[in-house]
Parts: sequence; C-alpha cells; structure tokens
Amino acid sequence: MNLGSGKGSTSSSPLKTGDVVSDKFPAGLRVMVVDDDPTCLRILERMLRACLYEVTKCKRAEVALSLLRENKNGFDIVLSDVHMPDMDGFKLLEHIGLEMDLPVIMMSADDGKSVVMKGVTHGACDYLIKPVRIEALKNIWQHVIRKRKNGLKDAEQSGSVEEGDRLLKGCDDGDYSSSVNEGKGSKKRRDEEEEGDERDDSSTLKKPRVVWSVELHQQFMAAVNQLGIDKAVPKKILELMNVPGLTRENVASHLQKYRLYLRRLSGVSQQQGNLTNSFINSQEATFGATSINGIDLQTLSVAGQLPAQSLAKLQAAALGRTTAKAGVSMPLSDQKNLFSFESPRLRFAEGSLHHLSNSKPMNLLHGIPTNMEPKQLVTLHQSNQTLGNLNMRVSTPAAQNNPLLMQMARSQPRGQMLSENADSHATRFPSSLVQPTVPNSISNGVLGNRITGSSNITSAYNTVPQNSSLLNFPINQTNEMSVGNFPLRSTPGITSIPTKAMFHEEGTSSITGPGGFVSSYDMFNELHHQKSHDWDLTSTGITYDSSQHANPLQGNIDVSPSVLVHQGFPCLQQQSVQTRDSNSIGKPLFCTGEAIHQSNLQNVSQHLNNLVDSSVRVKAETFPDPSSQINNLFSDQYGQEDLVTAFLKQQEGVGPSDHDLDFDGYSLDNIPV
Amino acid sequence: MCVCVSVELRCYINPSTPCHTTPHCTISFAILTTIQTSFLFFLSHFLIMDKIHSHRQVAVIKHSLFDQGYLDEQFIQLEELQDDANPNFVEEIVTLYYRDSSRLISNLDHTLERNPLDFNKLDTIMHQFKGSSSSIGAKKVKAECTLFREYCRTRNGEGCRKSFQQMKKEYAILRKKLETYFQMARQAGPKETALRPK
Repeated sequence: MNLGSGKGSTSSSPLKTGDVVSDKFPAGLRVMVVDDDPTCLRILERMLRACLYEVTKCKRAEVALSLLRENKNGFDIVLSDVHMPDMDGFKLLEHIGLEMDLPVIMMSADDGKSVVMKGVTHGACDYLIKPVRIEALKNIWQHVIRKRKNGLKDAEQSGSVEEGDRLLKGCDDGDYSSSVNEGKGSKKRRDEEEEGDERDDSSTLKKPRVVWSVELHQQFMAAVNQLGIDKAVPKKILELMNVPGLTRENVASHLQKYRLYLRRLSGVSQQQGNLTNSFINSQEATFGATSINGIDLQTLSVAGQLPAQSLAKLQAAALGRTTAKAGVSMPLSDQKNLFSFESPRLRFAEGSLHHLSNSKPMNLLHGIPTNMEPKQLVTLHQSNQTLGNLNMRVSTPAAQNNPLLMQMARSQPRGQMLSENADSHATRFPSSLVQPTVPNSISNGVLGNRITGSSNITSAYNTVPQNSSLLNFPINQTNEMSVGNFPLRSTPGITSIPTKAMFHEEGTSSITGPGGFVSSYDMFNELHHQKSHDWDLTSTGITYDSSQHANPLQGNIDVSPSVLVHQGFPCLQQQSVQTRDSNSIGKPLFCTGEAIHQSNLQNVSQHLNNLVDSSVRVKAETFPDPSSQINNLFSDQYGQEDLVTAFLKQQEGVGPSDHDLDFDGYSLDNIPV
Repeated sequence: MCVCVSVELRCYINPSTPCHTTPHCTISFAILTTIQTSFLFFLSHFLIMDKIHSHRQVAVIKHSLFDQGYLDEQFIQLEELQDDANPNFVEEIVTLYYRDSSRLISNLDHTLERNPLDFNKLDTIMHQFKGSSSSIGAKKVKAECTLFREYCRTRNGEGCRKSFQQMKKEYAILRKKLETYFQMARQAGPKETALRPK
C-alpha cells in the first residue's frame, strides 16, 4: 500500500503535501527484503508480515534488482543484507539509490563501526544489527515518509537556504574533507535554492520514479557539462535535455543523487590515496568507473587531481570500451554511430569525472573505490550504479556526470569490459586518470581507440575520446592495450615525462597524450584508421595546451602513478608517433577541434598542474575542476558531433594513410622523453 | 448409569406410568446426576491435568534450554511470531536452520582440510553461520562462532580447528534438545495462551 493508499490512490505516490497519511499506514508498506540466508529471510518475512507490510523476499541481489527495475513504483523500501555471495550489499544499495531512489536499510550480524560507517557513506537509511527484532522493523516506515517529505519539501520551498541545508543534511556528511564539503555544500545550496525557485509546480507530492536510462542520463550529463557544474541547475538542465515528461523535480533529485555520489567518491578517495593496479583493474572490470573508481579514484583522489569526473570518465571510457569493442569491427561508417553512442557515455563519464573533480577530486576517488570493488565489475549495472552512486554521493555539482557514467556503464557490455578491464585496468586507469587532467588528449586517446576508432569522432573526442579512450583502454587492454599499458605502468615517472614530451610533441605536430592511447587501442586493428583519426583529434586537444598540459599531464600521471602514467604514457607515445605521421591529417582536425579543445585544455592544464604539484602519491588535493574541464570537454564533444562528422569525412579520405600510422610497432615504452 | 437414570426419570415424569412415586424419582435423579457430574468432572480433570502436565513438561524443557544458555531471547521472538495462521512457525524456522547449517558445517569441514588454511574464507563462512544461528537464538553455538572468528582473525589454525569441533558439539546438543522439545510440544497439543510458558 502506498502512503497515499488511504486516499484511494494506488500509485506509489509520496505523501501529498497535506501529509495526509492513510489511516492504515504503515500497513501495506511494500517491502523488498534481500538476504542470502534462508533462515533470516524467512524470519524477516514473517516479522514484516506481522507488521502488516507487504513483503517480497529475494535470495539474491540480482533477482531483487531486476524485480525493482521491472516494478519501479512497486516498492516503498528495501531491506538488504550486507554480506551476500553474488553481490555486495553496498553495491546493491548504490544501485537502488541511483536507479530507484528508494530508502534502503542494511542489515548484518556485523556490528563493527567501519561497516556501519560504510552503510552511512553509501547512503543507507538505517543499519540494523542481526538478529533483527520485530520492534526494529515496526518503525521502518519512517524512512519512507522521511524520504518523501524531503523530496516534497525541496519541491515546495523556493530557494531557501533551508532547503539547501536540508538537502545537504540529507547527503552523506561522512568523511569528506571540509574544503570539499564546503565547496560542494555551497554549490549545492546555490543549486538547491535555484531548484527550489524553479520548482513552482512541485506541488504534486507525487514524485514519479523516472527511470534514468543510459540515454537519459547521458542527456543529463551532457546538459550538466554544457552548463558547467556550478551552473547546473535543474531548470536549465531540464531545458537542455528537452525530454518530454521529465520534470524539474526528477532532474533535481537526480542531480542531488549525483552530487551525493560525487561527494561520496571524494570522501572515499580521500581515504584511499593509493593508486594501484587494482584500481586500473577495477576500472576495466566494470563500467570502468566502478572498479576503477574504487581503486583508482582513491589513488587519484590522493593526488587530488583526479576528480571524480576523471574516474567517471574512466568508467565511461571503460564502458565505452565495451562499446568500442563492438565497434571495432564496425566500418568507418559506423564509427560515427559508435561515437554518438560513446559520446553520451563519455560525456557521462566526463561529466561525472568532472563533477567529481570539481567538487572534490579526492573525494570522488574515494567514493568510487567503495563502489568499485572488483566484484562489481561483474556487471556493468553494478558498475554503473556504483559509479552513479559514487557520483551521487558526492554532492558535487557534477552529480550529473555520474549518472551518465553509470548509465554508460550499464549500457556497456559488461563482460567485455570486465575481463578486459581487469587486465588492462591498471594501465587503463592511468589513462583515464590522465584524462581529467588532460581530458581531451587522454580520453580521446583511450576512448578514441575503442570508441572513437569506430566512430572517428576524433575531433569531438578530444574531450570525450580522451575519456573514452581511457575507459576503452582498459577494455582493450586485455586484448591489446595491455601490452602497451603495461610498459607504462612500470615507470610512472617515465610516463609523466613522456606525457610531457608528448605534449610538446603534440604541440608541434603530434598528439601525444591521448593519441597514444588511441593508438594502443587501435591495436585492435580494425580501428586503425579510426584511431589515427581519433588521435588527431586527441592530439589536437593535447597540442593546445601542450606546454601547459604537459605539466598537468605529469601531474595527473603522478596522481595515479601506476595507472595514469601508464595509460597516458602509451597514449602519448602512440600519439606522438602517430601524430607525426598523421600530422597532416590531424592538422585539419586540430583546427576544428582546436577552439573547442583549447578551453578544455586550459582546464586540463590546470588540473595537470595541480597534479604535477602533488606528489606521486595521489593526495587529496583540491583538483581544480578537472570535472569542469571534463564537463567542458563533454560539452564540447557534445557539440562536436558535427565536427566529428566533418572530421570523419576528412578522415575517411585520409584514412588509409592514417591507419598505417597507428599502432604498428607501437612500443609503449618508446615514449620520447 | 445415564440410561438408568433417564429411564427412571421417564418413569417418574410419565404420569401414565404409576410405577414410582415422585419423591423417589427426584432423589434417584439427583443421585444419578451427581454421579454423572462427578464422573465427568474427574474425567475432564484428568484430561486437563494431563494436558497441563504435558505443557508443563514442555515448559520445563524450554526453561532448561534457556537456563542452560542454549537459547536466548531471539527464540522467544520467534515463538511470538507463531500464531494460528502460522502454527508451526518456530519448527519451520529451525528446520530451515538445520538445513542451512549442515551445508555450512560441511563447507567449513572442507575448508579446514585445506593446507594452508584460507582464513578469509573460513571467516566468511562462519560469519554466515553465526548470522543464522543468532537468528534462531542459538546462544552457545553463536558464542562458539565468535570464538572461531577470532581465531581466524589471529590466523590461529589450531584454535580454529578446536573451536570448530566444540561448535559442532554444541550444535549437535542443541539440535537434539530442540528435537525433544518440539516432539513434546507436538504431543502436548495446541497450547492455550494461559498455558504458554514465558
């Protein structure tokens, strides 16, 4: 029974503004309980029935998730165990929070402080210690009401600081650095206020559960990127998205979630400052973001360079990779298609990364790690959600990005990514990490390889491809990139240097950074020509800021020593190689993308600079809006589709020659320093 | 006896049959009634007492389970969930527990045979086992699980093995006691609220 059931409505509408609750409430509350222990499950079911709730029990998280997805408005609250064999309870929590925005209560026999804290940071409404008593279950309805009330209140109130505060309170106030929190908080408040103002038609208490599909999220991310994290307000986002039937409230809540995710990511990233290969691997596994985020983000966060966005990008890239893979076999003509497909994802990733970076580079990373556990890699969904969760957590304006990433992740064939990611994870990550800093170049390279390869959206990719390339990189890594990546990994320091060098090279004529990656991806061979294209694009981006970015690149690389460096490194190498050859080709591309990329590059350079400043160990330093850069990149990419098209046309003509440039004889180690 | 009484009564009541005088009938009737009532009283008393006795027996067993620390408060929670709609709820849950715990125990056995010991896996399995044991209120078993996990944490293989053996013992004892308990409960029949031991 819904809250409004008493009034005769059968939809799962939230409390109406009058807050008139059905007399029977909380009876009829639709509860979904997930637990792998049959004894506990049966007991809980019986207890919940005794509370007069409508119970649906699931032994497995996957089943529960699919049930929830099928029936978005069919449940009011979810109870989940923490330790489950098929999926971690926290991951499920993130998925649910991101996709369905239902209150989730965690349960466990484990009452350790860290686990409970984890529940808080992941956004659980409550945490029950097993064995659960019926008294504890009698009051779970309060979480449903509270969530609905908060949602309504936001809608009702107009731009009051209270609203913002309330929203802020709703977010995880866990462990973010004060600076990040403040940054995010202020941004959030401003946005909240604006949201409140804009929500004049929020009188409807009913908050329809919008399914944030990948496409929708991509649009969301694109809009956010276009607006810029700081300026991303629901109303404008809604206008940009131009989706019929979507309300401001939907956008606002999604934005909030995204911010929470980002905040969470940054919080997690702060805690974990170790870039490890695992990070990379994690990236690859899922969504790219999930796994990567977890580990890599942490590293990145440490460096403070990699904003969540980068992670998101990485994830997106990873996601993109899966796509890219598919696209590998696609002819050039299909490249564009791939690109478009990828770009939304990329955008998402970038957006999320961007956001992450904006708000709290480090935190983002942290947040991501939590989500991204290797297991998560198992499913894209997981990764997606994780990413989304991460993003959501981080209450950064970049919240938008995350959802996209997540969606992107979801859309990506997990299997591919996961396996690939795992291998090349480490390598890829660096590239992805690098992306934020050198968004265009790297992402292009990484993404470009896979995604761009197919779509030839090199120009557009500057921003996107970079990310995608990074993401793709992991995916491809298993296949091809790995070779390239590995060498890079071994020498973080070197990578940074090469990056720089690459940059410079790019400045001259080669697209070092991203290009390199791209080329590695192109190893797939099918995308060869594509890659070269991508490369050019990426290099274009890179060239712009070559000097400036070089440093940042380094910084980035430092951030994720193992991961970033490697990834960026290969890209750079490749790019340099390719660019030289494809300079002619790339040059025209450069022109087109130049303008666009420059702005991005600027951002990237900033980030890179920051990275450089940070020690090799990624520290949670404030990362100058890599996310913003990423956003820019995304938005650029967004608008670069035309460019891409044009570019592709160009490339097609030039293509054949470019192909040769790519991967052949790439030895990632040959990074000109 | 009743037949005689009724016949006599009929004789008395029937005015047509001048067999007996009314005073006689009344007295006989009264005597018969008294005898009948007494009989019924004793009969029912016997039955009730028997029932009470059975329930009391069950209660005794139950109390001992609690007193000796085999069961805890959670078991009472389960019993409170049992009602007319769910008449065998507790037994159903315990049966589920047996099935699940058997699987976990054999899993633990296999994992303990490996060399070197995978403490993380052992801990994971035991965490699960502990969770379900605590759900039914198996106090001693749960305590042994905690001890086992502690040995896992300190990577004490020998301690793990010993603790596991002890846990299996406690589990076997509890299982036996519960089986007796449920058997008695079934024999005693449905309990009335007044008889329900708390």
